[in-house]
Amino acid sequence: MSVRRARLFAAGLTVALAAAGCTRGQVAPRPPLSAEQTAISAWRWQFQTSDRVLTAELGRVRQLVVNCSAGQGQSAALAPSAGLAVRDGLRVMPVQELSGRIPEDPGRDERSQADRLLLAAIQQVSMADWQVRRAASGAVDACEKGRSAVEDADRSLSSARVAAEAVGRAAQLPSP
Amino acid sequence: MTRRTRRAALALLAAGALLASGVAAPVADGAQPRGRTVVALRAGSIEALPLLLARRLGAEARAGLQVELLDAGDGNPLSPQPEVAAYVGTGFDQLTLAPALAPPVDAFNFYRRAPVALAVTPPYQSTDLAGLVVAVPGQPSLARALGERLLAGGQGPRSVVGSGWLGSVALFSVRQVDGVLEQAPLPQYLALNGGTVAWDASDGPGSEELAAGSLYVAAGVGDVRERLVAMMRMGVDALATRTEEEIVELVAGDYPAWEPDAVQAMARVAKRSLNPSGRLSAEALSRTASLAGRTPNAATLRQPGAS
Repeated sequence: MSVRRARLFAAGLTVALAAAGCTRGQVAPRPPLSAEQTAISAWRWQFQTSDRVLTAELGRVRQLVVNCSAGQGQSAALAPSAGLAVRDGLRVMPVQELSGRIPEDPGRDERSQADRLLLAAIQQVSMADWQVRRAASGAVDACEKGRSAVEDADRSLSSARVAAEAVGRAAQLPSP
Repeated sequence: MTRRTRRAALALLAAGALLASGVAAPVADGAQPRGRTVVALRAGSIEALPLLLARRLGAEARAGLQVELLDAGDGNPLSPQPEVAAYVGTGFDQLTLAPALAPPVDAFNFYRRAPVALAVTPPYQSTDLAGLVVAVPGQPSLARALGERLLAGGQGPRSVVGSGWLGSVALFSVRQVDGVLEQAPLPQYLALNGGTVAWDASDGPGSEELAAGSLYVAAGVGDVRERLVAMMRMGVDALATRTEEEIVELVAGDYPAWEPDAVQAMARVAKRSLNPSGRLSAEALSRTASLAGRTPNAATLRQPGAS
């Protein structure tokens, strides 16, 4: 590449970056977030973290359901679940959020909907896990109920994501 | 008589017959539920289980009631609600709230003693929490008192497991504990491997007011009380006759912050703690009525099949 062509390339790149607002010193400064936006942004970060953890837990339970075989052995005590701590940890955020809001809290209703759906998804995952463990202890129709609970959890989690996105849009937050 | 007038006459006759049979009779004043008929307090606790069961089994609609569940712990102080014909309490907190409300609270208690004390049975063990001294607030309203008691006893910071997360959060926020195991997964955490119950909540303030296995019916409007008793009776019967697993499947959705294991353990505890007959007793109601200084309606107290 000749020096001239290199200079032309560099100039073109600079123009392109400037047009995209990516060059140093030419980025349009974002307006500072309001207190409300900051709170919602923090909530959204928590929600997304919960979403990732719950998705992994849902995957684990889904696998259990796939491999579920009912009616083997005699009725026995339920074995403790490997997901207890994860799910209890996940519950803390939505439960505290739902309890801590004051009536005039901006965006309260929208966030409450997402939190309730998240909580419902956690509950459905735990239900699926419970059914799989019941199946292992002899309950004949538990696998099918577990499968159904996983489907419910999928639906609730999808709806929770939609509700969470709506919260971000309503608060005019930049996309994550 | 023309065909049209004959039709009109027949329609009038049919309407009259319906009215006479009571099918289409207007409901008398006082019997008609207006707006929200009943507000039930403290949803989500073990004490609400019979009520939740009754609702899930359709008893609410069958009784012609509209029930709204409120959680009226310390975190949600109850204020008078508009258009409410009756309030229902399923725990002893409601008795203390009664004077502030009109109409007064109808409070039901189904258990022989405070359920939390009975819940200390370890169906599960959690080794990672072994050795902790565990306090059991039992009720959110007791959590603060528990914290004070722990501090007064010089026991220092402790982990707290509560059946009421509001109380646990309150304790944590005032730094009376060094950790909170949130939302009371009772069977997993209550009786830890090597853990110690620091305080039996059954001797907490308020519990001495309870007569064991009692049903408290203090007031009501119109015929709400009779229908309410019928609804609650259905819940108690379901609690007595359904298996733990059936109960979990019926009400797990009502406890979104609980593991099904916890709901199952609660069902087990509730079934064990239920009045031995598994039914509401007229004798208990009489005791209650005298406690509340009111005269019970004997017609509502009679057991099915009793003379």
